Amino acid sequence: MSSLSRNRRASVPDIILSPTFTTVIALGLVGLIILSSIYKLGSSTEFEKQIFSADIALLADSLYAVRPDVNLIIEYPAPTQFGIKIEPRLVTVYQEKPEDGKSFWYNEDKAYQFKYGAFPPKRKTPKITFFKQGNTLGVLTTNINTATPYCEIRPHQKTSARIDYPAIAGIGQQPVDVATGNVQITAQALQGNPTATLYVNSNPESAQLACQIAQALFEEFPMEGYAIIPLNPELLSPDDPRLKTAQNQNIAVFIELTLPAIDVQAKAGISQAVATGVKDFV
Amino acid sequence: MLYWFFYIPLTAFVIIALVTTPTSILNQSVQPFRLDAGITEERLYEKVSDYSPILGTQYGTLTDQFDKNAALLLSDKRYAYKISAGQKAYVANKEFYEDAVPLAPIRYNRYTITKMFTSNGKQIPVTIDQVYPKSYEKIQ
Repeated sequence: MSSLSRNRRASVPDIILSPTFTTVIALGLVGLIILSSIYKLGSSTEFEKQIFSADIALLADSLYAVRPDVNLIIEYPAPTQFGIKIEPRLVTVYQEKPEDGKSFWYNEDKAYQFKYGAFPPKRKTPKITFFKQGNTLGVLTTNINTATPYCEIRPHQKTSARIDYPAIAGIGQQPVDVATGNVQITAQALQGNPTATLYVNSNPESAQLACQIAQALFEEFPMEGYAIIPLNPELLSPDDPRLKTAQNQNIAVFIELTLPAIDVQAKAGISQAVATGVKDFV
Repeated sequence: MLYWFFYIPLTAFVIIALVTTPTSILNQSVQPFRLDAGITEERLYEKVSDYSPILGTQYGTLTDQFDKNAALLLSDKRYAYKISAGQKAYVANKEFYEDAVPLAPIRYNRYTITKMFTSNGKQIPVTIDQVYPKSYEKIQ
């Protein structure tokens, strides 16, 4: 009988060691899980990649939100350990391969041309330069001219214009008609700082054409500025060379261009600019 | 009994909370809906403002190119907007917009702003209404 009662009582190891052992194991497991999750959280780059992709995509969206006639350059400090791929309507930030990266979207606009770009990981340059210039924006790869005009694309009447290249060859202080058809373009070239003044009549499409020509001039020459000025025929004297432009009811532009030198190269640039401007308009 | 039905579930709850709470907080920081909506509003108001090559942007004056300018080239982001000016309106991602508007703000985030513009000598309200899901995703 006494041996039976002795077997029923728990021994010291059972009372103390067994629960302690269980508790240590349990606490150890819990501690390991917590430490492991903290380590994973701290070493994970998923959030960084997501944050940067969203930030860059929203910056691209913001470029479109700027006033159309404002040009700008923005330097964005991008982390060098990540690769960045800016493609149509998507920005991807990755570490090894783009497929493993995080992406965010941005919307584009028909009125602008976006310049995309790709920057590999572990590169030397710690920044990406974005720009907005005229009807172009995106990743900057060459120099830009911050005075480049923005031209709104609008529907207009059907036009036919023939560029008179021999006339352009004779361009100088005397104005010459450089385009004929139902579009009249008269041009005059003077020596001076590279600027362009484009006079237009009251036809609103004349201002559109003038804008396209001004944009094309900025592509050909390092222009310092431009202006599009409306003409009132009642305020012009009879011998003013701009009177014909002002009185024309159709699309008409008078270009007063000043360049450092009116040589063969300049004339070639002028003919190219007029041709491009007309082509972009038509 | 207390061990199995209280202490262990409580421990499990604490561990899950410790693991998932920082993740969800960090996830929230990459859901910039308000900023996204604000930028889209600015873009659209620029697009529907009248622009002249001579005078530049005419803020407060509605463009006569409203139907053309209100349309952006949309990405795969699942969201929609409606911009209306008087009788004219344009909806981007119309199907998602019609599904989401009745369910906002419970299942979707909705952001609306109205500004007064002048058109043909009359003042008209131009309203931009955007809807986003609760978490960014690709449109199906």
